[in-house]
Amino acid sequence: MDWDERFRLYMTSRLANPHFSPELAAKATIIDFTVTQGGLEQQLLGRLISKEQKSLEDQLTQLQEEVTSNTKTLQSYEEQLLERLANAQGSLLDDTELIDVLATIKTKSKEVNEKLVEAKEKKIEINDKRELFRPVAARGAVLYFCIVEMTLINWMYNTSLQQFLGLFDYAIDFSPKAQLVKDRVHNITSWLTRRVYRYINRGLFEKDKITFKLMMATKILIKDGKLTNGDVGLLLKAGSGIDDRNKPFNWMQQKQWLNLKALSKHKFNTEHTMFFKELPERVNRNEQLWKKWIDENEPENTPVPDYEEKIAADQNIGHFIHLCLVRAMREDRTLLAASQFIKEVLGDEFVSPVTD
Amino acid sequence: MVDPATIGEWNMEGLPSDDLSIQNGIMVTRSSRYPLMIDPQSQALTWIKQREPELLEQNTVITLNVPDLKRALQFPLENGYPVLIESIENEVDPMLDPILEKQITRRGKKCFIKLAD
Repeated sequence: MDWDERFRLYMTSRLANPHFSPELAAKATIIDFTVTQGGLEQQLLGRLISKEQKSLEDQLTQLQEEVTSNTKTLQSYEEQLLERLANAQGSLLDDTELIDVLATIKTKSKEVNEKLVEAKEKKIEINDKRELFRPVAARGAVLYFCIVEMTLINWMYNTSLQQFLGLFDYAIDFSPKAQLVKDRVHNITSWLTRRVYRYINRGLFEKDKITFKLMMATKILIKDGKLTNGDVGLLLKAGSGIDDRNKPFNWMQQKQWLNLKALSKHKFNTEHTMFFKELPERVNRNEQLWKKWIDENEPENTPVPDYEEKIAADQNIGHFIHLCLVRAMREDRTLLAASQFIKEVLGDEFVSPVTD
Repeated sequence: MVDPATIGEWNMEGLPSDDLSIQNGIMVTRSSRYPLMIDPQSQALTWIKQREPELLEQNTVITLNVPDLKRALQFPLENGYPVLIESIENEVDPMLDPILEKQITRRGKKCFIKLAD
């Protein structure tokens, strides 16, 4: 059949992780349009600015247009110049017309260059203003990826980007206005977090709710640079990865001992060098005290022997360290300790029962 | 590879403005082979539809499951309209191979392509 040159073919796939055959990969260009956390952050920032400070975004587009047209003029001047020079006949110095042209081109290109420099400075200024709003976009991206990861638990929890953007817009439109950008950013961020939590929470099974909240809390801390993935790994895996048969305490279960060893070897964050390094030794020295704490009905509400002050002194992740300790020694109390942790990171509202 | 004006145009058409999306945009528009976009969030879909208004005018947004794929492709092939095939799963109909590989024969001024049934 006939073939028209203008024919174009596009193909899209909705699968997040498709397996295309090598033959297909050779025949078509496979391009991954899946949003990444960084990409989403940029998109959200643009969306936010265009709603929040329309003039800023307009200024930026206008500036970009100006820069483009100016660069183009500059290029055409340069071309003109070369052409004149190439076509000049006889001695260059005798051609007065040419010299005039050269002079005008020179002044004009100087003007354009000045404009470009000006535009550059302005751009930096605008970008600085934009950056003030970045925390909101960053939080948004983190929350969206929490939602996406919930699909791993249950396929039913799929939530589209559109839905999420709806929530994002809602938070911008309805959160309280403020005079200072800083306050405004704070308002939007907390509204967004709360809104997303309530919205998603409504659709989750009871047993998965705490998972979602815990994920939100840890991911937010990771994004803030207070926790690392390794820290979360410790919370989840504890001592299951190590082997040590020389348990010195008869009253302790093997599992608890392994967890304890794992804790003592773990480096929290980057600055905390082995927070629990002396833990086995301390337990050995204060055996009675520790045994009492571990056998406590509510160890998560009882002061930790030896470490209570040190944990409280850590403003950033003391709550997380405490959670890890409870999880290591009393797995059955982990969920309750996790609730406390969530409450401290996200706020009361996230642990109090909701009725809708 | 592109100037800011083009990028601005793409953004107007609905392509997200982050770096990765722009790189993807370059790949879609500059690649010599036809693009197959992995697009769980439908961002590429929205963009392409805006970019190629003829898709909606000529009703050439199709899936591989249309009753007569050959007929659906014939009209745009002969008249030079864009085609968008949505929701590709892991396999692509081998019928598309000649198109993907651009097996075009030239006879005089006209070009031809052979499609199997």
